[in-house]
Amino acid sequence: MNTPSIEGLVRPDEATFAPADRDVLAGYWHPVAFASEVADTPLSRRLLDVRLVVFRGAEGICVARDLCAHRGASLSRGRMDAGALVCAYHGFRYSGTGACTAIPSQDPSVPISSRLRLQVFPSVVAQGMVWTCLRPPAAAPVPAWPEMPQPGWKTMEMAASVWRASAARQVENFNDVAHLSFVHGATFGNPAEPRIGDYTVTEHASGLEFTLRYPQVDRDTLAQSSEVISDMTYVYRLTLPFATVLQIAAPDGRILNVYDVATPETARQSRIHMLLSRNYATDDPAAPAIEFQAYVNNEDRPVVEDQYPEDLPLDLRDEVHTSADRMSIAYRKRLTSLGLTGAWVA
Amino acid sequence: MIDDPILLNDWHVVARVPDLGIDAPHATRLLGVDLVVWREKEAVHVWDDLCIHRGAKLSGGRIKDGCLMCPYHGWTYNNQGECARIPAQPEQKPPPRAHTRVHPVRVLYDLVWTCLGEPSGDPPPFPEWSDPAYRSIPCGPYAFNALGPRVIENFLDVGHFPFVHAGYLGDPGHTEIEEYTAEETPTGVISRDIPIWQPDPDGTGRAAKVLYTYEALRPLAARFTKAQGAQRFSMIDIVTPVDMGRSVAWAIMAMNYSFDVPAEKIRTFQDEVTAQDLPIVESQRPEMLPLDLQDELHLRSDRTAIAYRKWLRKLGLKYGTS
Repeated sequence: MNTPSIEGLVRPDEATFAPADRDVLAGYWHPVAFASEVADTPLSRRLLDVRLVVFRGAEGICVARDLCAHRGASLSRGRMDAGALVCAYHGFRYSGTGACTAIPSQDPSVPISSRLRLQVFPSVVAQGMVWTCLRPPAAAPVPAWPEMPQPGWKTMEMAASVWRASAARQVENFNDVAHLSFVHGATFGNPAEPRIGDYTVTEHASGLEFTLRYPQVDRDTLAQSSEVISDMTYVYRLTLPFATVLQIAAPDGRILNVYDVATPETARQSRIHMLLSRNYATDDPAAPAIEFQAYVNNEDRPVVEDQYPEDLPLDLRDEVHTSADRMSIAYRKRLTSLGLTGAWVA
Repeated sequence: MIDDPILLNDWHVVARVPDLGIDAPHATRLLGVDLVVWREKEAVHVWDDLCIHRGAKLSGGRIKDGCLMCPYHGWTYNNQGECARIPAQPEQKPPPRAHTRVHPVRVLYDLVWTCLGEPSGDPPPFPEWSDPAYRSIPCGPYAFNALGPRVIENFLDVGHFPFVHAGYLGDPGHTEIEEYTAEETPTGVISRDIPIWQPDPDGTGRAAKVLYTYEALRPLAARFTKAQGAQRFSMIDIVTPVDMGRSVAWAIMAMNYSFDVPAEKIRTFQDEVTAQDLPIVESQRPEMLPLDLQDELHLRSDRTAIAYRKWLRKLGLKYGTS
């Protein structure tokens, strides 16, 4: 790949990734916000150590480096005005294409230098999320999941949450099955059935897939009883590097899809974007299901945030694996094949 | 891990036995290493706080049937630190690599002592603990955002009483320190019978001159005995080097008088004294104790500190020194 490195976009004291690993990950699409979050104020975001501003201009959603070319101010401190982003420092106005359209301190008849524009990154909205790629052209498309919302299904957005953990550790946790009976014993996990049967991981060009039956406690709100056990079929579809959809199918035809995308803000911190979508109880309010999923996430979070080393060890000899860990082994191998070194932090 | 052979091969306190739960393990840190401490009936175990499977902290898990269970996937470690059961694959024999690092343990003075290297010798002596003539009162632990050598030197210091502990241990009207000598012993440093004027040395409200004898027992453990007639008040201070910024001081007081005074009252007094020391010690710069005596100014009354620094230099202590 001859696209230039993005190392120059990172403030030196904010670099947490090894430059080569950052450049590999910068070649993929990552969500930086839900489209619904991009409203009347610019958002400050971080992706792969790079500070970004996300805003909704008259021309649409724009993802740009969070830097005013005039005096280096953070544009996310600014405000939106009539479809333009206004810098907080000297009031320079930028359109949704990144062009500077007004400089209040000078005569409006003076032409504006074409150099004075935002460094804009490509963005697309998919699954209700704003995805961007810092080092285009992207090495792979955004995940090819059924577009949300599906007709007749109820789709619910979780509030994004920031985990003090690497994206790969979070993704591996989301795709891990042997922890359900231990970490989630108070919600849907079944402490009486910790045994994990054989499963096969299927390799796709875009990622990994596997299916597993798990006798879970059949509930998806905290108010429901925890006495009914149902034999669920879990189908995990992981799109490299950090996006997964888990389909939970009940024997009676109920399906709940849980979408999990970990955005690597830094090598040590991830922003988790999650969606729930179900084909049942479509008229019920979203709040109980969202509250339940947030509770489940908070069962995982302290365990994952405490994992050591903080980076996912890509050298398989560094941790111990069992046959229940087939997915994790396959995932680590695929991350290695993307060109990641595993020593992510310089 | 903080690489200091002297401290790696020494005993350090990581917990107080009565604080250890029946089913919940205890998380702590020593020399930059995260440790889990847990009790199995009468035995206490100190291990690296890491499950080799997926790097989770074992201290988040549970103690059950004499084993420690990882919170993440339920890997169950026996009292030898070996994984004895993997619940996801109960028929599979856990691989030999599935074990944690086990550290030696001593239980002494109700404290759990461990060593990250090869222990040479025993934890420091405090004979008052088992002497029926004394009542022992534990106090602390006191957390300092400071390094061990500064904390110990403060413990050994007499000149600060009238200033930091006015009304408690010292009298601003009696600031002068009389002549005393400090000498090196085979195991540390001792300064005998330093006369100190105190506003209320024994809790009777009468000011008097008492004699302090200080000893550095280990690089990070020291004691004193205060003598007033036949009355003796001793205290040992043991500092755990947590990491490059933090220390925890564990202390035990022992006295052969005032048996009727509630232990809580005596402990509260010591808590107040430590709270007076804390901001001073945390403010000291450099944070590393300068072992080159040219680097700070010393007085005659600093003889114990001078001897302590010389001794640390001779031992070759690297942690918390410069």
